[in-house]
Amino acid sequence: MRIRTLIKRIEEEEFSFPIGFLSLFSVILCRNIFESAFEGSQILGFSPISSRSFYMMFIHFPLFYISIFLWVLLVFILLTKENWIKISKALLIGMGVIIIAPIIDIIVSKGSGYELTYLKGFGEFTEIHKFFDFTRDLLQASWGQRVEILLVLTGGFLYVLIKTKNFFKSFFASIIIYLIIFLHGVLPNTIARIPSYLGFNKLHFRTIITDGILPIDSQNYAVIFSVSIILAGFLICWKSRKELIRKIFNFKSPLIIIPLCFGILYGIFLIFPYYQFIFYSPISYLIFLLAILSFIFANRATITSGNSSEFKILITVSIFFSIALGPVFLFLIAVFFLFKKFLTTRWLVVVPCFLAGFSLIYQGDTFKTIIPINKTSLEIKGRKLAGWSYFLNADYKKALNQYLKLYAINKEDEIQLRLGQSYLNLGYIDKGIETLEKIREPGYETILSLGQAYTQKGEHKRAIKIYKKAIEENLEPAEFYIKIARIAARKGLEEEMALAIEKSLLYGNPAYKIYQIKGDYYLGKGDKKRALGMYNKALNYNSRCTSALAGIGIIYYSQGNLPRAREQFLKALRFEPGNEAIYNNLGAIYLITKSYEKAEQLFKKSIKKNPNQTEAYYNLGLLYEKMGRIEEALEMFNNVLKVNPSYAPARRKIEELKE
Amino acid sequence: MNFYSLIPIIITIISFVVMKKKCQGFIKNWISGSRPLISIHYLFPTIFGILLGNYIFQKPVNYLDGFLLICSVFFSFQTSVIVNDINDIKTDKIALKKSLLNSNYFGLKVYQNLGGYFFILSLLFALVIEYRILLIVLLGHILHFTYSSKPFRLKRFFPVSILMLALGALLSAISGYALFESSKPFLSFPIKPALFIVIPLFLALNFRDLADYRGDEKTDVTTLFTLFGLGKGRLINAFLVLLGYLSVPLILKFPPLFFAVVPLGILSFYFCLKKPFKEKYIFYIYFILIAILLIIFKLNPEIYLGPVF
Repeated sequence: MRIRTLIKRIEEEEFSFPIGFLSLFSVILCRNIFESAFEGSQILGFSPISSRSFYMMFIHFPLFYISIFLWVLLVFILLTKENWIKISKALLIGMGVIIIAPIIDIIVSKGSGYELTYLKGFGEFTEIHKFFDFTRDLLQASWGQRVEILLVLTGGFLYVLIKTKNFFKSFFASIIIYLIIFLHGVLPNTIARIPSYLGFNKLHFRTIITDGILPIDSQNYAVIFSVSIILAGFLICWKSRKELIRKIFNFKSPLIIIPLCFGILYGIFLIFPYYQFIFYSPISYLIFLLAILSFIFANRATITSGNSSEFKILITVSIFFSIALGPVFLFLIAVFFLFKKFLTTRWLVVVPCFLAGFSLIYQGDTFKTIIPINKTSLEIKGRKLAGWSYFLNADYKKALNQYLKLYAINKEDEIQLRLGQSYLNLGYIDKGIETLEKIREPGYETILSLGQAYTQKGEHKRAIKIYKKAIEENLEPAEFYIKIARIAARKGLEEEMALAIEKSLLYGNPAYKIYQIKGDYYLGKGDKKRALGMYNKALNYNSRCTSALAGIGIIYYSQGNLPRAREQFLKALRFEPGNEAIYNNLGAIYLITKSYEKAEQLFKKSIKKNPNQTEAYYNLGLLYEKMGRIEEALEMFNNVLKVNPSYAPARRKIEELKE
Repeated sequence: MNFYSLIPIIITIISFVVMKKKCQGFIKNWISGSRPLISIHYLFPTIFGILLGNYIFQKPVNYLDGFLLICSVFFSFQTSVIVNDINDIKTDKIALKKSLLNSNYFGLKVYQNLGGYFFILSLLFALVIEYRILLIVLLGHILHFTYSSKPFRLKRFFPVSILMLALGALLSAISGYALFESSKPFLSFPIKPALFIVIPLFLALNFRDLADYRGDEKTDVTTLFTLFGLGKGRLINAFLVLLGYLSVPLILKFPPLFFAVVPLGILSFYFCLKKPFKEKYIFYIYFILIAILLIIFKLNPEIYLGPVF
């Protein structure tokens, strides 16, 4: 009875559309800021900052939640037959639940936060139960997410129950809400994978690609959720405000679309040899569709009264979608709006429409490319598109080819970075380092790649020096102090490690990372008992700490307890399937137990994941030696020396084998 | 000096000059209606955060960034005052409380625009320092917005309302601290100063609702005073303020501070019960405590750090 009164009070609350929207946006932003501040991975906003951080914080995740909001609203409208404004008010209050997940996580994880995992697509349809699969040791979902979803489902159930007094409908509502959340999780990757599901893609997907023609992956997610919002909004309006749909999609709409489409086609025509990369991702089609719809909304807004809620909705929607499509598009749609609203010579609106279509492909280079048509700019754009597509698909040879040609005509930092990374990924470590060193303003990604390259090369002091330089420039000090501590621990540099640990703690790094590093240090010193103690402490703080699990595995391995070592490595792999070092460790176990085929597979997998893995090359060399494949063994030992010329065991092996 | 840093300063100066010319008495009216004492109270945590960051990370203070941050926090608070006034028109009229909106100097539309303008200014000041500082300031805005405005209007729910005000002060401190460590400021901010800000303010800030008692009662806003009645509420409030003062040396584990907080607490206790109630005296006493705490920080900053338990 009390809940009913409370819901009635909420539904009768009076506030305008902008205030309602601001409140919803505030809750979403609050969740994003909490998540970026508290959870394990803070790329959403705090650390490290990249070009995607802004889009994730202000566009992509807000659109994700708004889309869920609208679909749930639609379900409630259909099930309860209640007025949509009343339902949306109740739902808005219910959305407050989303801020609790990061708060719960930071408490449960004792200050570490969880690295929230995302759904991978319909390929992993079994993930549908991930939030409540308690056997998975928080691999799939954090406690915060679980509690959050449980509260959402309970809220949905109770709301429909109170409104309809029908248990079946309430239960059905809960299931549908769960499916809506699940589908929002899998939607981007599923759309991105459509060509590969259908077997159309020439390139093979190694990772899940969500990139269309927009430069930042987060923008592409935003496009998908924008289209979802339009669809949900359309259905809601169809139920409650049909006249609005008729007004927006009237017969005059195509007149605005024509110059926009011409702009898109002209852009595709100019980039001709590389046009396939535009249509490489199905998200590109959605981008064009969203651009068209944004213009239709903006067009409608120009002939709507400035005080009406319809105007406010149209303007909000246009701005949001346009930001997702890039700042140039936003600028041009604003120009279109102003021209249409205030100019007497209306045909001029054709210009921003055409340019906006063109800008979808050329983004920041739009004006530079079109006035006058700049062939070098076009080539740069095309090769960048191609290079990035190959790079994302881990086809580094083709990516390198594109970036080498790009580098000949343009030496901007981003091109050098990708070129250097392509070299590193192909195992050309010296070339990679040389290229990365040339970057004028090295950012987080450059420092990281360089540091890793030097570490793999065995030049640990150089790596530490690079990280220290980044810290001096206040570039993600929390991240780089941890890296220094890790290198120092593995190399037994006690003083350096102690100092870096002290600083790491000061910069707010979680305790489990420190214990794991101390574990590495003791392991390196041969003090297995203390190492085990440290690793266990790390796991006590974060049961998903793969390095600690792997460390314990190594201890068991060195004690000859191979089954338990294998168990630990497999557990670590579940949490971090891409960890090349663990594949190598597992391979080493199979090498000892003489399961040569399995060992070979694992070493190769480790090398494929990181072609600069000296240990994996070395182990593969040992394996081939044991199998009597001396030529191949020699090749592997030589590969070790290519990456790290000071790797003495490989040199000794070569000498032995040659003798 | 970065040129971008000057942009918000120039915009602020130009716009204030223009407004002064266009609207007679703008600055005078704005200052009188903008709760100057509470504004200053919000700046103290920011300054404390800067000092704390400076001590912990042993990095020099960038005075320009410090100034920009203080401006950002100040305009952020001004925005929250405006949002609160707009949402409290009814309450303030019943309680006969003076606000810029009730004084009829500003119309509702102009006042809303002024709020929007301060909001943008505060974000601009934060953005020229760093993107992550912007996020912290934005979180402060969200906190104040959900505190004052419908549909959430958390100020209706005691003691959530007071907790939010205390958390707002903590956010101000974290923003100051983030000038030195912005990658994980929420996680690296030491727990002892966090408690030292939140607990005393959570205990003591109830007195702010006393002036709105009549309005709150009629608009269903739950406060300590509407919950227990004016008489009992005043007494409980006075005790909580005293407790707030006493909690400071306990949290800091610094008993000599009792020599300062006991008389100051008793004085505040007295002014909380004295009729007619004058908010400014409570603030003046509070400022004395802040001055003492700053001197202690200068003498021995370690008191503010270390384990809590």
